[in-house]
Amino acid sequence: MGLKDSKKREKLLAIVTAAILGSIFLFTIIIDPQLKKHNALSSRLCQLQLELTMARGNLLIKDRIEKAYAQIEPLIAEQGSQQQISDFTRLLDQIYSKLNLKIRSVKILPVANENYYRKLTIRIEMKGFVKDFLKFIEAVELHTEPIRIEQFNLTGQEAKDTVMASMIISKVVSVENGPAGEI
Amino acid sequence: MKYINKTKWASAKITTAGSVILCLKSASESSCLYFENTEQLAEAIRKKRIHVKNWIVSVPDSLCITKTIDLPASDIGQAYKMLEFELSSYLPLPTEELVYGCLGVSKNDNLLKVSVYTLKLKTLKGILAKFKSFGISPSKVMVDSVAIQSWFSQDRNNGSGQIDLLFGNKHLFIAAAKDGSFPMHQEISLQGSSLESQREQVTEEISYLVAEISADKKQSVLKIAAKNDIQPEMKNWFKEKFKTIAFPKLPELNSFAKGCSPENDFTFESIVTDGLLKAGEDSDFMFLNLLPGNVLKRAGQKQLITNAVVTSVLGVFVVLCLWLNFAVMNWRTQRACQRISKEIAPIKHIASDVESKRQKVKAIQAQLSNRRQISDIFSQLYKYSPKQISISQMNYSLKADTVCLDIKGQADTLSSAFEYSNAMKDSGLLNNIQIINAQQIPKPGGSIVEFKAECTMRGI
Repeated sequence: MGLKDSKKREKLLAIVTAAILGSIFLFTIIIDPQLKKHNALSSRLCQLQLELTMARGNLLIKDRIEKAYAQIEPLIAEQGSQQQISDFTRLLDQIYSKLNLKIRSVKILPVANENYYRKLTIRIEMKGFVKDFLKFIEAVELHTEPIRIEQFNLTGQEAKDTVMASMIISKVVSVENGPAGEI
Repeated sequence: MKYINKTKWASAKITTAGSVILCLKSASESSCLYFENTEQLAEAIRKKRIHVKNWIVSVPDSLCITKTIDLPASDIGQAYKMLEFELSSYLPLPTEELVYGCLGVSKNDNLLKVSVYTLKLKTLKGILAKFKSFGISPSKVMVDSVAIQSWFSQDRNNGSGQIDLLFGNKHLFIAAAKDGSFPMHQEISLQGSSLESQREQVTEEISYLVAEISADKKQSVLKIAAKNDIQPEMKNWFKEKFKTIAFPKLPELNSFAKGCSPENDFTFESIVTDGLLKAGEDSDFMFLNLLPGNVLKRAGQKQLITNAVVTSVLGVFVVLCLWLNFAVMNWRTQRACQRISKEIAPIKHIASDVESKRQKVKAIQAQLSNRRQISDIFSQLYKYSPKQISISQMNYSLKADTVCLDIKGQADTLSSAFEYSNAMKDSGLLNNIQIINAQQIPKPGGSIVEFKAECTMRGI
């Protein structure tokens, strides 16, 4: 009787195991690829819907943007990337060369590439009188080019009215071609 | 004539005249079909005018060896298994040459009394071959007497004895049962003599059976299955001996083909055929199938394979449906993607150009915003810082729209260091400057206070 029961149990276990393995196999072969495809397509659909909404939104504000862009266009002229950096350093050189500041170092930092523009960044370390330093800041802040002081560190020196300054200055420039297909 | 032509179960009986009686299972009252000969039935089956899944047939009791055996079994299933080994001691034939079936008669203590019906395999094969010749492969083979008793037991009352009489064309079948137990039965041949001449023998036999099952003859019920024309005569025979005499309704016998009505009395065969359907359903007769073990095994295997195939097909269908569901869902999503792509295509370049310009304008505006902010900070520091305060270090950082300014400096006294934030209250940009640390440091000829201050300007 016990042997018969255990045989029945073994048979049942075998059937259940086979059913589970079969289900897993079928899921892996048939259902799972479709599920993955569905997830990919759903993401694509969301992305396209977002693109469509943005495109429609952009069309609505087209005139206003065109107008604003016409004003800033001379500031963001397209040039080669090396040319842009040399222009930027030259620009800074023009500012501090007129002042009594001792430039300790000029370091070009990594360029931040955005979709349609890039941000050039330069770290300058200088030493000089406070008065000259403030003139430098004022000259940068009032310059017609789109340059901006992102960060600075000012440390007083032993000598009277003398400071050591380290600052990060950025400039926004245009890229030659925007990313293909991007809105 | 109207009859159901498709059924799951049907029974068949070949009469001695060569005609066939068929009973098809239906939800309504039983009715039997009469076929003039086996060819007529074979044609009906061949032409699918009758479609039956399972057939039940019976063999006459005269072909069977019937024995009543006591077995130490708890149930009829166990007894059936025991018979495989026990049968050889009761019959002078090897078990391999026999087919057998059994049904429980009564149970006393640990012994189960079973009625065993044994048939020679050779004889059964002959019967099966005959049925097969006109397209019937039976699923169950039973015995006539069991079918008759099953027919009579339809509304049998437990508690009182019952005598069943079946007047056939050539036989009189008598059975007696009490308390729902399996009845004793006997067959008397009616051939070659009139009914009246056998009255004495019949009444004597019945008296004996009644005495066996009940002390009070009057309390027993007599059921008579006979043609309508002899029913009054039968009533006369027994009206003094039995209080209750019943004539159950006989199965209606309809001819399958027009114009060939049954000429003989087929009451016996009709009742056997009808009773076979009832016996086939009865779980008490589960082990009375006289089909050989290998045939039953093959049928079981066939059923198992059929079930497995049906289950597999259903499983595949479900999986297919599931796959199709996902496939359709993906197809719809893909179509939606294509539709949106088509909508985007004509405005893509214009929108892209606008977006490019928008981002550039935004970036330039951010660069050009708050242009004099640092100059203003220095200006306010010069204007509002008290004379006792000197600044030695200053950190300026711009993150998004927040400017953080950290200042390190010296003051003459602790109080003047802590008053620094109050002094800057009137300045526009640095009005929330906070002293976060101040420490008095001794110096030759006095002391000096070093402090740290911070100012966060949001929304720049």
